[in-house]
Amino acid sequence: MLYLFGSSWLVAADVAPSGVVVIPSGSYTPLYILNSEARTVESFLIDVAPVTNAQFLEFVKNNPKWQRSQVKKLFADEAYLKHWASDLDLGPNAELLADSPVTNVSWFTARAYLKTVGKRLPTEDEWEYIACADETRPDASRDSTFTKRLLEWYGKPNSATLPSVYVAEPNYYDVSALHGYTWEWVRDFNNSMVTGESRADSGLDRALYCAGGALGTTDPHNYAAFMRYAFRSSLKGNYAVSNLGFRGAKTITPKEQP
Amino acid sequence: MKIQYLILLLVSITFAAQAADSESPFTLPMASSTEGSIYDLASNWYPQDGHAVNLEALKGKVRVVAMGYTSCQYACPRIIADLKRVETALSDKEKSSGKISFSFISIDPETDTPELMKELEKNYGMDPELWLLLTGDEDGVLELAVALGMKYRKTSPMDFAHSNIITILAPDGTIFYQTYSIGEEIDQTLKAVRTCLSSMK
Repeated sequence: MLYLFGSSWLVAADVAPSGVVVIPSGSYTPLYILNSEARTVESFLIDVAPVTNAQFLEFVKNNPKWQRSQVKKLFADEAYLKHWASDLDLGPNAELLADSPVTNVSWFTARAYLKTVGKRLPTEDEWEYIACADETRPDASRDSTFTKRLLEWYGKPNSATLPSVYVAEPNYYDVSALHGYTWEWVRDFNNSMVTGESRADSGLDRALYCAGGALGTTDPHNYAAFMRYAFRSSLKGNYAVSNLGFRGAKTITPKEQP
Repeated sequence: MKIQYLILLLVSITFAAQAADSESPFTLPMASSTEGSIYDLASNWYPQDGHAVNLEALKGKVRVVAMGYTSCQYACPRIIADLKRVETALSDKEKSSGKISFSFISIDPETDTPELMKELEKNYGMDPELWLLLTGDEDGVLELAVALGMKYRKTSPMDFAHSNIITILAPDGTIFYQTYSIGEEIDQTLKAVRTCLSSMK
């Protein structure tokens, strides 16, 4: 089964990932601004796996207004859950789909789901911070073998059905499937590559493209991150996309801190 | 090679999407039950005068809306000027009909208190009967901004980069019209306001 997918991201996990892990605070340097300074990320909780089709099905069962036929276009476009057979039916591949990450969900629907479980979407900083990790190191973003694996995945077409989240190898933080499955919504996706006519806006565009260009000529280190920013900037809150899923995060209140 | 093509594709998709946005004066359909309403977002807002309101309480008027922040030096004054030009172009009868309102909504709720919004009202000589200046909480601002297709990023402690959008909301909260052209002719916006007003009879 695993060999079918033929990807280095997949191994048989001894324990099915579930629940959340605590991510320690730290910092990372984002790609999008030239000479940008490191950004501090406070400690937070993150789901170890993306939300699955089975979990999302349970949610729409309990919340009819978020079912495919009921949802308003402002909050989810026509592609919303289009890979399901109907409102509450995953279709002939139900068994395969159940444990694979849910995709074709909009930012609004992801938020609505997470609200019901007392979570929120991770911020872009939080997501990018943990996405720097490979299996053994918190920051592999300067290692070309790691970034090459990312690029190889980005360059490959999606498989018809995504593999189960329960076979993903966890990264340094015990978080699975950040790479190699789907791209994921972040809370503030709308801050990527601001567009419009104001002077400030075009300045920001330039910063991003310069960074992209510079990386392209010297080395492909953060090409993968550049692609994520470019992708996010093309999104709107009601877009449902076939390779875009999500996972939950939670702020750690001072009381819960060790 | 493949990757470069993919990036090119991504970038061109982004630009294509923006181009389509900026030239779509009347493509958004009139209210229908499947479209969804901005007023379905159950967030709380603080006007320049008076008490907190739930977004839903704003139903029932044609609203000409833009988002920005009070300390903005460049784009926001132009956006506000555009809204004021639309206001000026309306007849006294239209303005006093009670069917229309103009709104400037803050993307910087940390700084923009209702008091600062009140100052903005005075500085621009806005009629408080016609102008509703709103500040909210961070999550409500994000949600409304995303619903309106607004992008923004804090670039320094005092400044934001943000897209410039004027939106006309129908009385039921559906998005009736949006324009990304700022500081230009307001004819299309005015026309859209009047179309929306005339549907209210």
